[in-house]
Amino acid sequence: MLAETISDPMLRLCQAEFKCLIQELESAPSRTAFFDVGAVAEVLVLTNGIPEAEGLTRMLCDASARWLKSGLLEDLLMARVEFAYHVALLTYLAQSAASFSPSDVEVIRNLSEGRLVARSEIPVLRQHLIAAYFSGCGIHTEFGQLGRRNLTQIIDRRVLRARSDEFDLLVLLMCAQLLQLDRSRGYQGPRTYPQAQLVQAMRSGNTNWLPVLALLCSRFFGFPGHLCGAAFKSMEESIPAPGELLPAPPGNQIDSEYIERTERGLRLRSTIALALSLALPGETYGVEQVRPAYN
Amino acid sequence: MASNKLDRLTTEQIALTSKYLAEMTERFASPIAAIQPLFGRCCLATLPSSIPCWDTLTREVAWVAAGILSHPDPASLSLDPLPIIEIYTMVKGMDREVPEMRQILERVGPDLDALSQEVRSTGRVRQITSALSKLGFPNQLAKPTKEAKNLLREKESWFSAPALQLADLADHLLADDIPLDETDTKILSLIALGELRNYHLDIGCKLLRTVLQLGVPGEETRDGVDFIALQRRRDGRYGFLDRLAEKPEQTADPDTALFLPMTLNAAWLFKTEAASMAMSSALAAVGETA
Repeated sequence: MLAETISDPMLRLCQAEFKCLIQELESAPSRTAFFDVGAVAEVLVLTNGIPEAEGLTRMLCDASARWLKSGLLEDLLMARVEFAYHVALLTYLAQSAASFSPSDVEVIRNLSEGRLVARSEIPVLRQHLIAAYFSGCGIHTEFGQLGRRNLTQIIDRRVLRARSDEFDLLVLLMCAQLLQLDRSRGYQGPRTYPQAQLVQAMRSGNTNWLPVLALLCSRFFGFPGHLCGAAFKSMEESIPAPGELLPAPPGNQIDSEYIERTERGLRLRSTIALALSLALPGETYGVEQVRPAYN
Repeated sequence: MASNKLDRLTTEQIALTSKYLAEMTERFASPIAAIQPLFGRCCLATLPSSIPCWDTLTREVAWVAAGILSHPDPASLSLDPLPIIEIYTMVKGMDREVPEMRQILERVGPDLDALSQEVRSTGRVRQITSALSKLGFPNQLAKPTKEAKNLLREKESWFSAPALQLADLADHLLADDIPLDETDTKILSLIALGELRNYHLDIGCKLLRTVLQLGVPGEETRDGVDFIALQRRRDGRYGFLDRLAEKPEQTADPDTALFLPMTLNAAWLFKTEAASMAMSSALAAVGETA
């Protein structure tokens, strides 16, 4: 009774709405429409075996297969790291469509194996750091086996991603902390990625990032002479007026889903790095990395 | 994704990308517009895994050249001589001659002579002059401008030089065959990586080709080529559209705005990388024999 009077009309309404949403994403892809589809997909993927959901699920699987074949999912995957989860979900669902062919996932496979997409190192780094800092306080946190990862490879491959915002710098800051806490665990510092970021900061006039990257390169990731001289010259040219802090990083949003990074803190941390670099160039640059005790 | 290998593309992948470029040639249906896709196909045909197709390519090169020569006012075409020179060099490298192409190149020399000293001193024109001389069309190579000389000398300024200046620098380096040491190679490769991450593909690829040709390619250089290699799509094109950009590329023709230039850059880069690695292997073999 309830099925006929309430549930069936409701499902018909949802089908009509979902059809519109699918058409909207196909005709004019937008962030909102994609996340809307993702929200629906998160429920439909769990409805296996429920006959009433079959129509909606079929609609979604067929649409996903079309988007995969047309390259839309690949374009979205490359556009923003936030889309990766929903792209993965829709790619999975696309396999159920009659039109799906295994070769449809070739590009996504290459992008994933090439570490261009779907990698978020921050949760891993954060878990390592929490465990390491707590352990240093005598608090032994059980996260399960974190496993060993080659941080050099993981982080250096970020250089292949067309993206540049506070995530990039945060990853390096976290990686440097891990290196400082414990080199004996076999962590190796990345090289190409921090140096490429430093060069880009100089080229793009990002005076907020430059002193932080210079500090990181000098103490943890390697700072060859040709980079050091140029970075120092750029920093000298970007000294703020007396009483002023360095400006915030230009352009990009500075809040992330993992941690809030607001302007005041970012300006202050970068000005500290700049002040230290200018005050203590001999000690900041070219010294052996510090290795505090870490139990 | 393979890296540090001569075979950046499989035979099938080369065929697919060549097919895309051939489709672009048909779409434009004009010998002049066909130069760029044809250049890309010639680059792909030099790769170790390609299936020999130089008879076909040579015929097409002749057709394009004849189309240019028969144009009532060739000067109005504003042709870029560099792809023409590159195509001719590749065809000659396969022991083939295209008299029509030779005729076009013979005309370029006097055109260069007619340019002002200032223009002849730019990197682009110097590179064209130098490339023509290497093919046996001698022309006097003008000296670089004072600004260019300064940029060549003061490497610290490379970090802050705008993309146009860096492109000019690369042209001068190539015109004069100036070898790049390990440090120069690293600097230019790191700059290239930054430009590629911002999707400034022309300058990124140009710097990579320069260091592959003149430098000591290292990890950063390979990362740059990997970046381009990973832009490959199933249909053989290269590039990803930013569908969410405020002014999406698809409002223009995505092939001319993104896919075709990126595919050409990829083909040219892979050709240069393969040549660089073949040269390194040959030198290593000579070293072992000695």
